[in-house]
Amino acid sequence: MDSVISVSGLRKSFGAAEAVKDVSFEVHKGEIFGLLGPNGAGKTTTIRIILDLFKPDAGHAHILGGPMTEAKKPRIGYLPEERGLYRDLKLEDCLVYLAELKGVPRDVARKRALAYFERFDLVEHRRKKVNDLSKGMQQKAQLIATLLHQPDVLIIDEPFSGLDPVNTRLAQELLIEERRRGTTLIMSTHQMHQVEEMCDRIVLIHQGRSVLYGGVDEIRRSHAENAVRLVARGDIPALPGVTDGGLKGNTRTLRLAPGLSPQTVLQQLAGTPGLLIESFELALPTMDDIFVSVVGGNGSTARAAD
Amino acid sequence: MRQILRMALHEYTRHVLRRRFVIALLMPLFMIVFISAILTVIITLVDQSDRGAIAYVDPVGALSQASAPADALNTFVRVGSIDEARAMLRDGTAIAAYALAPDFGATRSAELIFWERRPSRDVERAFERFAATSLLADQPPEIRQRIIEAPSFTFESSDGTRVTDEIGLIAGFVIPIVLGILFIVALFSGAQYLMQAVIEEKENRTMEVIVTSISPLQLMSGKVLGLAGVGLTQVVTWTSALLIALSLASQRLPFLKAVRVEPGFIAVALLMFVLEYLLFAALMGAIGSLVTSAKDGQNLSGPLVLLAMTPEFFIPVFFIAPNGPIAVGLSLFPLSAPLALLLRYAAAPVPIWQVLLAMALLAASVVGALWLASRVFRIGMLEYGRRVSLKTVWEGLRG
Repeated sequence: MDSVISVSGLRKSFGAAEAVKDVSFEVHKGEIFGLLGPNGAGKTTTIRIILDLFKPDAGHAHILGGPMTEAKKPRIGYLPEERGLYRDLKLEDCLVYLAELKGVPRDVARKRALAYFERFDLVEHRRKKVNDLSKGMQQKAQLIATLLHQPDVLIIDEPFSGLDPVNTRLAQELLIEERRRGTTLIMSTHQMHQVEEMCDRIVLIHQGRSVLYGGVDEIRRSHAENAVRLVARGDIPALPGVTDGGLKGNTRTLRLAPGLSPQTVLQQLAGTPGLLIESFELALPTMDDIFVSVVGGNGSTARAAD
Repeated sequence: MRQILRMALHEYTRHVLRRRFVIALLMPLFMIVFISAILTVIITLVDQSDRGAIAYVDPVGALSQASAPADALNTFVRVGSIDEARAMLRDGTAIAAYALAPDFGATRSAELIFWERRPSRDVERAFERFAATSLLADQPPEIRQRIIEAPSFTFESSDGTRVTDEIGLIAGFVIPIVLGILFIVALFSGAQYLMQAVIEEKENRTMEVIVTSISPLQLMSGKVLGLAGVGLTQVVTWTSALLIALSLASQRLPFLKAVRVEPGFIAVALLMFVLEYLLFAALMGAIGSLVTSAKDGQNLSGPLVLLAMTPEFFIPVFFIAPNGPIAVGLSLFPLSAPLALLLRYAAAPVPIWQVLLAMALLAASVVGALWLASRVFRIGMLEYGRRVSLKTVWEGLRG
């Protein structure tokens, strides 16, 4: 796998405070990579080290094949968590200017911006000052600013914050399109369902260390207990090695004894007269559950298959 | 380079189109127009009050009407008695009256009589001139002229490059001093803009986005160049307005005709100012990178402002010893050079090698300050909400 970003043994302190203690991960070309962690875990510091805004005390952060250089800047798009637009400029002028600094000719930038404005329903607002836009509009504008120069690598910090569900969906589609175009994305977010929907792999940083790293599916499987979730009409019979894990909504969880396979249980249930099975799935934990269990626990390092 | 120019243009238009900049730009123009208007009104009123007849009582016939100048503002009316003169003053047909003493021939004594308001010194001079012309009527015209006119002196600098008269000597200070004041105002206001902009952009994270597009040196250079353009706009506008006002005013005020306006000097002054502006802007940008509020920035920038203004505190020294060690030292020290050179130029010619050396030192300081500003910016830009200690800066610069 081509590695677009490679972070190894990263450490960074600010005075007595150790913001990053030991963070390592790699981001592969063309994937959406989740950079997860609770507030203050060291995610933003890690991003800033990758972007060469900070120098690490130890370790290295390589991007596009080596340390950050001036020549690489036009190939990178960065959306900071706190928004970085000129508030006293008109929306269109602001975005075109930022794209020009990335080396995009003005007319090209203007054309691309207009296409994004149409898509994000911002055409009417393009002559307004950034300061006069709603928080959601500013967030959309910031996302557009990150994309106008068509970067090879996108580093986005909380891209969906402040967006309503419709615009969240729109932004999500846009980022997935970018991935299709071959762009590599690093996304820092607290919204775990977005991680499940979008990310190929993740690293979870807690207290300055990477504590969970790997593919989203692998991580979920590795954290799964032997259980299934079932939606069915009719009475569920008592089966050997199966205990009732409780009902949530119309979904019942069944815990299976070690060695008992979900396949066997499905066959037994399918043969039960009067029981109509509507859905049957492995009870994989959500990323939210995993996040809470890892961060809420002692934070010891776990590693899924890479 | 393209990015630097793009940023410079962005910074320039962003500041120039701001309402507060337009007001700051126009305010001195309004002041110039306002002061010119007031002066015109005052001069017109004074002229009118000085115009009119001067009555005189001449019991011995010492003065001759033939000696009265033909094109003067005043006419001279001989009356028979003091009472008659008083009557003319009372009914406004005369603006002043003189009663020559009966022994005027020996004592040259005369009494000035006026009603309500003492006439201006110009009126008194007019009568004195009329009296002197009368008394010297028997002298050849050139002798009479030399006695009546005050002696005039011509001053020439030792290198022969500057020749002027007494009025020119004083008027020579007008342009350098006024330009110096305009430069200082533009310099401080412009540098404040830059410091404020850096603080704001650091706080709202715009900087973080910009620095992932261009280098800190490009960023600082672009900002400083743009701001220098803003300063130049201010100074060129004000200087042009000043020169136009001067040219209009000198039609009414002969004194102002002696004010030297030398294009070469103005060009050198503008160039020095632009360099000073770049230097100051870079240093203020560096300060802006280190602090979290404009107030903190002002505290740190105070010493710089003082250094730039040092020549103001030494104005007497510049007049007494324009080529002395203090004046020369201040005109070579980059921060104070433009103002010091202006003041020296007002007092005496400045050796060209010193002007060129001052310019070279200032230009080198600009390059150094830009480098320093970009390094300090790199150190300070991400210290959101925290003031960076000088120790951190020193360690950062060494590292």
